[in-house]
Amino acid sequence: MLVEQAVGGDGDGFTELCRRYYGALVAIGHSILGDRHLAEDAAQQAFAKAAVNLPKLRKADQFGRWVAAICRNEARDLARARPVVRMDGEMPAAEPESDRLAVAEVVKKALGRLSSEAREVVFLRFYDGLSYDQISGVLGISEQAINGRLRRAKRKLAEHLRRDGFGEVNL
Amino acid sequence: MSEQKKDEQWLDAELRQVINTTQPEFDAEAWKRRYAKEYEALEARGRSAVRVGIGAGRRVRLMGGGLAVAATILIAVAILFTQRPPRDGQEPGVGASASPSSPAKMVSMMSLARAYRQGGEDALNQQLDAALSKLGPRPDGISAVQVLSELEG
Repeated sequence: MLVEQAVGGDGDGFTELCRRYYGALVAIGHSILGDRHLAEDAAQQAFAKAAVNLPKLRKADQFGRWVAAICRNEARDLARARPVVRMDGEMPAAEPESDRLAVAEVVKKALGRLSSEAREVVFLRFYDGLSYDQISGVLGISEQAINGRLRRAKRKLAEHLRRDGFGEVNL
Repeated sequence: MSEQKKDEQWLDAELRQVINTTQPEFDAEAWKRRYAKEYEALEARGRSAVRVGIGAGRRVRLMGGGLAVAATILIAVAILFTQRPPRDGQEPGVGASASPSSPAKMVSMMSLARAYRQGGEDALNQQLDAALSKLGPRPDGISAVQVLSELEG
């Protein structure tokens, strides 16, 4: 309903859609860029493109997937344009201030080695406050499929952690 | 608790720490200001849709009105043609007008219409009777081709 209103040029309907999908899009952008503020830029830019191109959307129930795809492209463009700390590249080695920070750095590094799809589902799941409905809305898959993808991503993470000499992580 | 479960919980906690992000709030007003052109394009689509809607509605109403007027004119013309009474000072009947000379001309549409306009159904019947009486019964010696050639002039 909101999507149809937005397609018809209803500004309030469109901004309500933005509110609903913003968190998920920022999580997707963050998984690519590794930076929360840049991720917000990517999400907002994606909404701007969506506002102009909404009439091209064929199925209203695909809005989430569609705008998420725009956001991924925007985030990749931003990542190419600005040499920032990217989650899909090698993370810079930081001197750990404590053991806890050292662990966090190793986990970050392992996250950066995941495939973009696996990293995305981890970010979506661990972004505070995102429901399965919201995640499903942008990925276009069921809760079961989300859990399956998440399990595979965590197993991969555990593999990377073992390789980094983190010890035995059984998942 | 199994070792696997413990490891999973540990990893979940670490991921929460690493990702450590609260869900961001979308600031609609700031976004509208930042992407004023795009937002304007979206709203303009809405305005043009409304305009097109009104225009279409008006066109349909006008078209409907026009059709009603055209239908009224057509009905009036039809009534005028079919219900026109005989002219004043004219006797109904074939004799009131220049009588067609041949039976073919007598039964032509124009001739029948003229007879009807001048004398109504009676005049029409009279003209048809006159045509039939002129034709008369076909003698055995006359072929159908001859009758038809006379009818067609």
